[in-house]
Amino acid sequence: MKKIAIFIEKKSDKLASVGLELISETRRKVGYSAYLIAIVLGAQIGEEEINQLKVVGPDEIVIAEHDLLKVYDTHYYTTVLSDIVAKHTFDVLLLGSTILGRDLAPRLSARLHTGLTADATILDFDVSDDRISLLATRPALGGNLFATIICPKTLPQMASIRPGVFAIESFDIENIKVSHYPVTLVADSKVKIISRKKVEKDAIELSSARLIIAGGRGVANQFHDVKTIANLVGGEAAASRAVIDANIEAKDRLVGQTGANVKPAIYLALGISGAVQHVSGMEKSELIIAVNNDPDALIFKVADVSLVCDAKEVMPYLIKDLQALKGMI
Amino acid sequence: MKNALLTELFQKFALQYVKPLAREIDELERFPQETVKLMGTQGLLGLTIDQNYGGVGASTADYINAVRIFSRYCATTGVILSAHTSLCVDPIMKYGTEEQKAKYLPRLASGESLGAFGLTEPNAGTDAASQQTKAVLDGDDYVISGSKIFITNAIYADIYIIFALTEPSLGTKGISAFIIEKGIPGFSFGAKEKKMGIRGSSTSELIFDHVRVPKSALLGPLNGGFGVAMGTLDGGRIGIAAQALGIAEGAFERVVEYVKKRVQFGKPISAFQNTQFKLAEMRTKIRAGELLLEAAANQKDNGENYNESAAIAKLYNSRIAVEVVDDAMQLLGGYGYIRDYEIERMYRDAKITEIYEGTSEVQKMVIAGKVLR
Amino acid sequence: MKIIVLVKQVPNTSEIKIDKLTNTLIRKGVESIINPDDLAGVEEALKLKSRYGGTVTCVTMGPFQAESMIRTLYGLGVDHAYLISDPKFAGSDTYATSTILSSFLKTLEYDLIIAGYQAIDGDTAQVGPQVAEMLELPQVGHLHAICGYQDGVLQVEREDETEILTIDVRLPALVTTLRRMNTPRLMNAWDAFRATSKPFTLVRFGDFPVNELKIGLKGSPTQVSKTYTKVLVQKAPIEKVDAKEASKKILALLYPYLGVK
Repeated sequence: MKKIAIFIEKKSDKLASVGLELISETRRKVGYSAYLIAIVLGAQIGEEEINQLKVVGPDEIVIAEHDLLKVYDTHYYTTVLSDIVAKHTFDVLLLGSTILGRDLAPRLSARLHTGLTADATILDFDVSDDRISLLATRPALGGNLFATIICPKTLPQMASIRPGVFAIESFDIENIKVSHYPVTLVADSKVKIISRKKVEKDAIELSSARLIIAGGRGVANQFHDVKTIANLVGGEAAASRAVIDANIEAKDRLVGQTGANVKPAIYLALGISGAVQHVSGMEKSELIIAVNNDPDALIFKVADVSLVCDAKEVMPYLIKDLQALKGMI
Repeated sequence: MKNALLTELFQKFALQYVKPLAREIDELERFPQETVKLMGTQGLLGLTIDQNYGGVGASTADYINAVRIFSRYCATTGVILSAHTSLCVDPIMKYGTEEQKAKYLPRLASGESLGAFGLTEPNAGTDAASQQTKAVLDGDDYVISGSKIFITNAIYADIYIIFALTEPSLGTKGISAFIIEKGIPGFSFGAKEKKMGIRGSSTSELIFDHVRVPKSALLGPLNGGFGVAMGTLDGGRIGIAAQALGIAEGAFERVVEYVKKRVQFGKPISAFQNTQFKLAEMRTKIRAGELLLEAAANQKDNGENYNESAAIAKLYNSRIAVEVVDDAMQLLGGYGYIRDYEIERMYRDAKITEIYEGTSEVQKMVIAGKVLR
Repeated sequence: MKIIVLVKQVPNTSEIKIDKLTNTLIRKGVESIINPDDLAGVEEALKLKSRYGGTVTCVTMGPFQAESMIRTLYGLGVDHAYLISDPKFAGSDTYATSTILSSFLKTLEYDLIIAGYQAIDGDTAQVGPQVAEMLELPQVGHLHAICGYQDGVLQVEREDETEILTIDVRLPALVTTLRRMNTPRLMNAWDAFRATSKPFTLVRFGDFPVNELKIGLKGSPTQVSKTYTKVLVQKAPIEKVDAKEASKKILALLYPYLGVK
């Protein structure tokens, strides 16, 4: 049986959701045709965490506990994981491409002399009698190009995947094996954490947002709906000059010549006329959807999808539809 | 020959530091001290100074390229650099003793000191020889009294090249040049002039009230000051030709951008032949000005006689600057008159290039003089 | 301190556009720049040099065209640069690239290697950690700041999703830098003027020991199976719709990004 191993990251003493997402997606793709192993490292892995993992249906959970694994250290984590890998023949090894994952995965891939695909957004598994081939598709050139990468000559085939790309789903597996890996480590890391401090999430980062829901004069009095939609889609809310000047939103939400320059995957312009100084800040968006009551609005010249309609009426429908989709209502 | 990396530096510096302040320093009539400080740390004030005095050792072509590029965004910044380099650094390099060079050039190169040049007086403009400031020998010192007006970089400069009559009876042949530092007793400044353009440039009167300087302050030979002045102004001309070209180029760039976007009668106005012909005329003038400028700078770098070329470059470039900016404003129409669009500042800035560092009439005198020799 | 900075010349990917008719990349006219995370690393190195003395050396692997980047680096004040360039290295994935880089770095002396966190063309963030592994160096990546150096220990701040960690790392080590950690300096005229004629070292295959089986396309464990540009939605004509319909249309377009099944 082909083996797919998934590294389960712990973050702030909890299981990071990316590990669960990866198990779910792998299950969805391979069903019962592969053996899934979840590997967790830490000082102490509790019952609750093991149960969280069992819900998504791996075949086995390998737990590696040691005091030196309490907090992430490149050296200790790479050593333990490569030891575990050496004891098995994993066909595939997946990690989340969190900041930790992007520190660990390449180091591990070099130690294992194998290939790694970073930031994959699509995973496909080609299951045949003698092997599972991983086809990992990822964006490159700043998101302008997509490439499907394979690792035909070495094992394990490694890939890292961004959090939030795949949905978590429960999967029923009976008799999930839980094993403890005997960790031997020497305290010889040359890296020492002196102190740590929590940071507030950065103020609104429009320029790096993937989805932007923007509101203009046409929805100024209903701007809270714009923000609700932004939250529901996991994106950011932005505004045109009119909204900022009316003191409805602060300047950090401004898109335009004197505000942010954005290139999201989708820019939804609600009640925005499309004046030159606004357009210059968002015209590089991959897909522009514009909703405006006025069929002659300038925004329709740059929009890919142009809907003549009152944005104030559309928003409540969109909110309801999104909530339904997400199982909230 | 221009150094490509230096050109890249000038362009980046201009966009990052010069352009953002242009409007403010004009509206507030404020000298951009912070820009001058940065020019110092990035080596832009020592472009033409030899490396062994702490300078960059670059060519005239490189230095005036800096003046030109800065002037596209801010004519004030262009003239600050030009006055410092052509009118103060240059004469010290050319006429200074080893002691003087060792004393002043490193300070000018690092930006520790800004330079200036004081020749013009209330009664001596184009008739520069009619100096009235006197330098009277007293023991081993000269005592200087008089005043200079319309001095660029006044108040902010530390090192001034000053001209005074050491031998009144000899007229033109009795003028001497001195290096005088700010802060010396008796040397003070008059009120700042309120100008039509290059408003961020600090222009004031210099007042000398029995200022005592040692003989070692003499720059060049005793009574040879007129030659120092003329020799210096020849080079200064190239700087102003660069500034004028920059102003024209800055206006041109804006007008081209504007005519592509401005729609009237259902088309961008760039579609109309009148606009196209005007742009062609402007472009031709700018290209001609560029070639004249490069010719003068290259001759200077090659050690050839450049004074006719410099006069021609300044005469021509200053005229086309005034014309190009006027045409640009006309093409911008009402918007051109609005301060936000910046053409009106360039319009006000352009004219001075036909006046200072030798009026256009002086340039014609130089050119005719050579023709009729 | 002997500091080596790994730098890469990359296309300015924010300028790359997709031709909407053919769905191919328009690379023409896109300028080449120093990878921003690497430039931040150069800036940190120059700051460390001002503070503690020493040298800043840049190592880059790329085509001969990368010489233009070296000139700019010299204009910033970098002391020396190596350009590793050979047809045999072409087609290398990150593992092969890291093999080549680390094999060459083994011939140099250094206290600290700085690499940019991620290149804007490859976007993998893999070379730094892979090189660190191959050189058996401790690594600290995704830096927020480099604080100081004393007695063989470098103190840095690493940022992750929720925290900033202050970390001491024993040198020699490798760290990775982020563009947002500093504002890179402009060139200065003194260095820029001299940069045009300042020599650099061209490094070819054969100039340093490297496992020939682990380089180039053949030596790369990963391969590209296929590439495609993002399929752009053809511009749709303006349509008048009612609010309910509009919502449905918008939802359909948002759907792939919502992470729901």
